[in-house]
Amino acid sequence: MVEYTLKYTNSGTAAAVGVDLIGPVPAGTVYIEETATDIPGIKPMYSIDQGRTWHEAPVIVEVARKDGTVEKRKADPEMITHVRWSLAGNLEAGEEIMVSYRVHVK
Amino acid sequence: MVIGMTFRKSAGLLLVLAIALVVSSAANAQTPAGTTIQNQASATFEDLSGNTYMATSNAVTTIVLPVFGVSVLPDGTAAAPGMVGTAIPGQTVYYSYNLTNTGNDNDDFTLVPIIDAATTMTLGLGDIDIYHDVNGNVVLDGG
Repeated sequence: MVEYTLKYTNSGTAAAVGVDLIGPVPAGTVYIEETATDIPGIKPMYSIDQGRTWHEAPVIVEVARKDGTVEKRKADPEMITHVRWSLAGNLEAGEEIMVSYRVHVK
Repeated sequence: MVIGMTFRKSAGLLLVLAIALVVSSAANAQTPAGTTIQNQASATFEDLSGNTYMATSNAVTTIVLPVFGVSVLPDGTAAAPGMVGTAIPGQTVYYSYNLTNTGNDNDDFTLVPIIDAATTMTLGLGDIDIYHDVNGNVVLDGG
């Protein structure tokens, strides 16, 4: 198991707004559910398509049945490709933020 | 391990990113030992003027360590044997076991027969031989 900790510091003199922090789930590893930092104002979102779209947990996928109907089910953890945290507020000058998540090696 | 990268943006905003590899323990056996796993974090943000930026951290590399594992099946006890054979005195009985390397790296194994303490039959270590049944036919082939 590997824990990735991402530390972001705004060492500039102005605030950064609309900050999205993105942590990939590297090839050969699987995201371990409920290990992404989840605190008020920093809610983790998940992508199952290389960061194209983002969803809150649990990520729901649609699976076509043979009879043409569609079944909605929770995505397997193996499908998670990225974790993203969108900061609700600004990251002010000098402010630092840390988020983390864990993966296990296949 | 903490590795950081700094870079300067035209807006005067400086952002430092780092990935720390905090916990690293045994992998399970699917990924070969020595495999490298790379990761690189990123961020997107805007300055107060609405200019957007993308920032990437340096890459961190994790190397998968060897994990050793072995299984010998079927398993059993004298009370609940994994296999049962019947023989007349002097006859040889063959049992087939599968030895599996369940680790993620090549390994060597030494096989030694152990006679269960609950065995009622008089049996010495020299009475048991181990052969590699290369073709898996449970028969002692020539060569």
